[in-house]
Amino acid sequence: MEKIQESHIRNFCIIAHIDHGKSTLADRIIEKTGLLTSREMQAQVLDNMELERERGITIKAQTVRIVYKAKNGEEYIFNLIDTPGHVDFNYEVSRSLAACEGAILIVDAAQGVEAQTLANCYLALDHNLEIMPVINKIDLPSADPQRVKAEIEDVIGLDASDAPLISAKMGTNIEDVLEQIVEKIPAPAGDENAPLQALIFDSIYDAYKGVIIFCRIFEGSVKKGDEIQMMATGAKAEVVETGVFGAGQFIPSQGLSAGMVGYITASLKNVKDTRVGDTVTLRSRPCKEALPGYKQVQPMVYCGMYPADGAKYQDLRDALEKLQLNDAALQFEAETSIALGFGFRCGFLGLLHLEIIQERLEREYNLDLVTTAPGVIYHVYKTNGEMVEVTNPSNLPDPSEIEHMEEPVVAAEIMVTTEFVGAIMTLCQERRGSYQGMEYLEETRALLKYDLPLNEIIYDFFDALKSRSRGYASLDYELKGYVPSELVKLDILINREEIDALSFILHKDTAYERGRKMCEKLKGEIPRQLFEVPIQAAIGSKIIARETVKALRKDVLAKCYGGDITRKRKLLEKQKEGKKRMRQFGSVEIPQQAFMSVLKLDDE
Amino acid sequence: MMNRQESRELELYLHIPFCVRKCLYCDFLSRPGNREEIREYAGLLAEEIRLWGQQLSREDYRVVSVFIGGGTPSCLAGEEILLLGQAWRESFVLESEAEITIEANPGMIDPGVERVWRQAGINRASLGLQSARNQELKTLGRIHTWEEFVESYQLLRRAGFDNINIDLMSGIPGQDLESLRETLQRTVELQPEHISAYSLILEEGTPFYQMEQEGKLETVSEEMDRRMYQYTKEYLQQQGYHRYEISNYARDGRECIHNCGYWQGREYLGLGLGASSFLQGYRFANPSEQEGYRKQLQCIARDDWKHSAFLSPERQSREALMEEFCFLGLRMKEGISRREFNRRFGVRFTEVYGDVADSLLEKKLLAEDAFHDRIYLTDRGIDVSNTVLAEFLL
Repeated sequence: MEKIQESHIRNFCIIAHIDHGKSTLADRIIEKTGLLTSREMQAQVLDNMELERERGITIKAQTVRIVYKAKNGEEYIFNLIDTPGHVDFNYEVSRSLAACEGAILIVDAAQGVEAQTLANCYLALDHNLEIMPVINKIDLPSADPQRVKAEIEDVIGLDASDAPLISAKMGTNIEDVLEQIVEKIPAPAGDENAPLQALIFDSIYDAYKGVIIFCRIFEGSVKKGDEIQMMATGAKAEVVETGVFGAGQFIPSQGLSAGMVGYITASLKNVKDTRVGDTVTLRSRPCKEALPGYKQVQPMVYCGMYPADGAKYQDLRDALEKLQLNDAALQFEAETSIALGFGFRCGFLGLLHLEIIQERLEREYNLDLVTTAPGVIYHVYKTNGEMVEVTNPSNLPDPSEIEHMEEPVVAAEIMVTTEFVGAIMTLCQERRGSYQGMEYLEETRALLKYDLPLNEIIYDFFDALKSRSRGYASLDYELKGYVPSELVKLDILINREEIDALSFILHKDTAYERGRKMCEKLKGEIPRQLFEVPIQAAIGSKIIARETVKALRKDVLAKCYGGDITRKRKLLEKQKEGKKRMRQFGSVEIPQQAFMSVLKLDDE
Repeated sequence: MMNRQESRELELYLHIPFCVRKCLYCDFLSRPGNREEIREYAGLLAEEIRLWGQQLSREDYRVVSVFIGGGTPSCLAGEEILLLGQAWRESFVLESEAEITIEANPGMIDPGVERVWRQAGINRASLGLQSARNQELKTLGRIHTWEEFVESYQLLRRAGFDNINIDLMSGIPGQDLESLRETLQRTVELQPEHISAYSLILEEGTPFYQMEQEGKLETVSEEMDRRMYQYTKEYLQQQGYHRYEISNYARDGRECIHNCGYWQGREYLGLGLGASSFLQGYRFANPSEQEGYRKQLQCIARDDWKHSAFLSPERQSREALMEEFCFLGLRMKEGISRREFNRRFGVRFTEVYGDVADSLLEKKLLAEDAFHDRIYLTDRGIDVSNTVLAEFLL
């Protein structure tokens, strides 16, 4: 492979609010650079997980190297580093940004700047990236590029005067973007003779190659046969292959040197060894210090995951282990529930991460799961001076042993058009938010700042936010810390038996309302049994809400006529099938659906 | 399996898919038909009976019951009934005591035709009354009144029918215990030999179902429905009608042979549009539209019935037969016998259904008379029979 001058490399990413067209622009850039014919293009090259495509978001960062022949006649290497598009993956975003010199900021010509746009922008500025605004979706009837330009200048403070006006969907003005990448985004400036210093911005596990490290070389170079070492985890290995990212394929190279973005494979078996944000260096000639910004990601949201069919426990374990190979942020450990049997307590970066894992387990591993209500990590200070971290409500110590408890709080920023400010403030108050301030970004839009308990936003906050703002509000948040809180454990009793899988920890002021809602919801989900079934919500021994599922009185077959037994059989089979999806608790049968339904108590 | 030497009992069911008007709760296969259509259909049916006679001519079957149901069989003209009677007599060996039933719609019996029925060998009639109150009949969309019913009933008695069933219904929108009592009383006064008393069930696809979904039908509560069931049972028992199946009552010795056949696993041949059969371990049904039905006839005229693409007979697995033994047998008051199960399937009942039966016995949904070797539904078990019977699916 011929030597590439650093001056001819551009490392950049695209940042945007969800739905503003990041993946579509990435596709167009790849298409226009001519490495792929239109026919080879998948609909969206970068988002290659089925799930990602369905949800229209990027989960794992994908990266592609392309060649662009600029108008000045020179060929440039573009490394487009994709970034995950959800607040759950903020840390990953920050590491991807750290691998770049510049960022394309896409703003929707109709929607304008959103909270996530702003959050990502600040993140990019924090990493000293050159930000190049692009206004997308100019083909929309509601597009107002001039207003959006002004907004970018007023709200973010970026010069948007020569921002390309494009339609990624229609392929309009993509050339302008490519030319500006060459002109505006700085070339990398590392020393290829210095000791190796490479940033891991992603890593995946491949059944044949083992762990594939996605990295940006800042200093020095690396090639096959080198002994490398991860500075934070301490893992060591010999390089088996280096290469760069073709669209949808790995292209081996002679080596990687300063300024380049590429991959390294070594005989590593687990992505735990190659944490995002860690620095790769050479054992024989280590760099003086690691690149800044590494932190070990910690799960923020926990829930229990149980196989619907107890016999599938081992299958679930295998599946979680396989997913973990590729997802260092996923944590799990075995636990048992009286109600649900053997399963796992799993930790996730956020609710979206949880949902993605759940869907992948169900879809890719064909597992039928029962998931318990997601919770956060509570700090429980005991009277004996000890502090325990509790993620499973069942493990909460006896109230008599608890001195006080603390819960995690996030600093949230909500961007909303002014007409909905009132509604959103009400929502935040209901969720125990503490108002931190508001900035008017322009006449019609405001940035609301609230500190919110994390356990109040992991259920359905985002849905509520969207519904109360007709879809206009956007949310960004980060963990702020722990604060003391009056927390209680709410138990659900069905037919006077506590169903441990339905217990959860919450603030005492919201317990009554939530208990009532849960009972109501469960009443609708539990089919009538042969006897009356009380559903109760309790704190300790105190019952705070009750509903009753009345006994089944009549369940008879219609006239058996003309010998059509097949039809009667089908009716009975339907009944039997419904029963299969139930779990037996004492003498009560509860459909698995009931466990799921209480996870989303709709915001009426 | 069954013994080839011994002659085997067979039942015939003849489906007449025509009605003047469909009742609001009915989901059976029927539609209005004109005279010409009905005549043509009767011809096809007679043809089908003959074809099956040929198909089964080498097997030693004897027919123990014939049931002409519908729709409205009483819309057949006299000569059409004679044609059918001739067909089954010439094509099958009929037991001398065979029960031959025709369903008739009150107010729809052309005077004189009832005598032709007797000539054709029909010895039992089943009349759909449903209610003795004209208002309730109107609600159901029936086309007759109580008075017309009585007229038809007397007509049949005069023609010599000494075995008559009357169909009743409970849970009719607007019905209460008092009106049910009145219906029962008036019915019993007529002294029929047999009474079927079903609860109204809202079947998908019927106008009633639609109305209920739209909240336009005031149905009786489940509690009331069950009270009505109990009331009916007690009332009829007092009057000398014993309950031998969930919804069927008869004077001693007047139980419907044909219906019992379905529940006891007897073989039966369904003839006519959409009719279901159970033959030699196979279950199948005729096509339910005219064109397919015609082609099916051409098919069995040439070829063995087991190869007919129009029937696609499905051999019941041993498990399926075990399930049916239970969920059909338990509809009978006398229930099922462990020994009979063991004999029929060569495996112990306890081995297959021990846990299921124990749990249902414990919940008092089933009861057992060990001395007489019978397991049967309790009153509570009858109320929730779906739940109980579904347990017997393997």
